[in-house]
Amino acid sequence: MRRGRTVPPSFGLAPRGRKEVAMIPWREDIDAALAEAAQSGRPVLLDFTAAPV
Amino acid sequence: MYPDPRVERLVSESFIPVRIQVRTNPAPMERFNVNWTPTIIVLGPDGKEHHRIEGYLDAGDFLAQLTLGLGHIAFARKEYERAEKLFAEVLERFPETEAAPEAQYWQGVARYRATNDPAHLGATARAFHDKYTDTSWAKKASVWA
Repeated sequence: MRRGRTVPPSFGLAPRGRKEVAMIPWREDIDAALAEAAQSGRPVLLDFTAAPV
Repeated sequence: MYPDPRVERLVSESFIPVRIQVRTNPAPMERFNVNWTPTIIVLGPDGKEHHRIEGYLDAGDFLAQLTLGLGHIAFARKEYERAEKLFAEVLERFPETEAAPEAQYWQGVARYRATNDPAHLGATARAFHDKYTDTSWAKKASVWA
């Protein structure tokens, strides 16, 4: 199964004094994500962005 | 884009998240009829679209919209009790968001579907007399009164 890479959120660093509690495991391959969803029963969130990542 | 740990947690735990950077990968925009960014689309496990968010939202509104999307997926899968709980969660945690009146409407529909008791639709219509009165969802529910 293809796994997405874990990248930090695009907003940059967490506010001072607050630890990031989660890293969103963004995928880049839509069809691989859809196949994973069909197998696992989890929904898919597609984030279309033009912001620099 | 998600500087809120609650958002990161919900996205990580409840979804398979896919980021499409449209500057370098524009092709999926046509596939999913996306004309602007940011656009968030919630797909069910079957790949069908159940919810769409266009434009930036603050964390509370965004969490409410994502929870609403999960509710719509549960409803489409005929998981009416789960759907009702998710819509109720929107109302309880995010009562001041734009998602709340929609959640109130669909909570009533889910309860009706779960029980086959149309009295729940009437109760939902009456609930709109007290809150979210001037919303399109109140108008839609008014036929049940």
